[in-house]
Amino acid sequence: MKKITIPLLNIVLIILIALQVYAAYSLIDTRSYAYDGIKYAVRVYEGGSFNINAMVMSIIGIICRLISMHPLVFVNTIALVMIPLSYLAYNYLFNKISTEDSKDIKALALIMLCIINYYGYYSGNLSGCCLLTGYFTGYSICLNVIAPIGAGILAARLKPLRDKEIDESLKQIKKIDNYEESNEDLEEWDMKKHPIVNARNLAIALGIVVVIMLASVFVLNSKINSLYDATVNLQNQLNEYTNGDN
Amino acid sequence: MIREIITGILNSYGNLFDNSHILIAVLIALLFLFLIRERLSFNPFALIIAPIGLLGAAFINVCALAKEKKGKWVYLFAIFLCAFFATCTGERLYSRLNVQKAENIYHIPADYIEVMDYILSEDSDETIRVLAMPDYCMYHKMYSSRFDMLFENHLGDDVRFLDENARNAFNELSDNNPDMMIVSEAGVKENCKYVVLKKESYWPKFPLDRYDYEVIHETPTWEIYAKKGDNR
Repeated sequence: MKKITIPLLNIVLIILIALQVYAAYSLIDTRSYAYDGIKYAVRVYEGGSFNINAMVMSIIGIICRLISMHPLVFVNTIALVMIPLSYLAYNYLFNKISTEDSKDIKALALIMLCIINYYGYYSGNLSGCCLLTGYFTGYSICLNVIAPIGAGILAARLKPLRDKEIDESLKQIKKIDNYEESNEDLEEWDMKKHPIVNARNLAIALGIVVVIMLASVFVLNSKINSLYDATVNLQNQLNEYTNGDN
Repeated sequence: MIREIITGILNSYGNLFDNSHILIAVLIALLFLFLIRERLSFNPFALIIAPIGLLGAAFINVCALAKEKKGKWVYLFAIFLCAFFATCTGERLYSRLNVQKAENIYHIPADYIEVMDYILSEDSDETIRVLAMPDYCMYHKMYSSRFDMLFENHLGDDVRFLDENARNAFNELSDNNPDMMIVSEAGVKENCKYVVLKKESYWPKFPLDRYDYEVIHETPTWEIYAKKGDNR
């Protein structure tokens, strides 16, 4: 049974990916913001300057200039390779987190991602990072290629969360009865005696809280500034209207 | 480059979680992986940086659990989960309302390429200031960097950031019954050499050549106006 299902699932997966490539090649989403960034590639392609905030598009512009191909043509043909590449990145991630026995389940998971890309997780602002509409944008490359590979590397490096291992280490620490007998530095004793709530962890937590507070103040401040800009224009317009009435 | 990658990751997170359904799905997946952490050979928090991968990991483990309990039904269960994720995490991407078949490799309407080619061949200036219709103005800079548009925004979300003249022209051209005098004034004030309008978009039809522009070229769908008395 397994000998038949795994190749069958892989064939379904390949067909779904090929359909995605075909859809990206032949269909236009008229709501798409994704194509807005191509103007930076066109500028580089026609001998203009780089935009430091759109380096991916600038690099596409350089490649297009080297091969003498308009960026729009490049994006609609050669850049389509990013779609299968994204699935390879997810395949790498799934290989890192699952065992050899679950090949069929891995194929099913990739099929699920395909279906989500077709029908799911789409809203108006998502075209820049949705795989089907923005496969060539920096956002999409970050989210669908760099992030899964990074997560796969991290998953392989970080220790798994298992309570048994933590319990064993706690038992070892409890062997030390008190600080006077242990003959250790106060900080080390505190960390061994209280592995979770100790002075160092509390200081780190305080630091994180301060950073979050600063970030929230910054965000609120920027929101208030933008609101203020909007109301300034509004006030000017109101003044104009009232002057006109008088 | 590094700065762009970092801002790219942050922005893609921001955009992704703009659709709150996926945020809920990711949080449920993370909670599920945390609850079954004893079984996992990896740290689930490592997958936070890849939200869609996190969904996939949760899916793999749900299916593995189902396979242990009821081996034969795992595929049916997986199909159900796929359908659930697909319908609950967003809207259908390709619908007839928003998607159309590409007419060429540029993914720009073929008759509009004709319009842009005409303007580019007609004018030898390095930058050509153009006022185009809101749904089509985005194509100009994608086609050539020589175009300098009065407004580039095509979906109208950022109209408040436009100048007064550009905002007036955008608002008028977004309407079915625009005041062409306002459009003409905005074009003249902002030094727009060309105005491109669709023939059948507006009703009743008040041609722009009553004011400061004249028709220089027509296609079956489009009219290209240039400023009167402008030496091209």
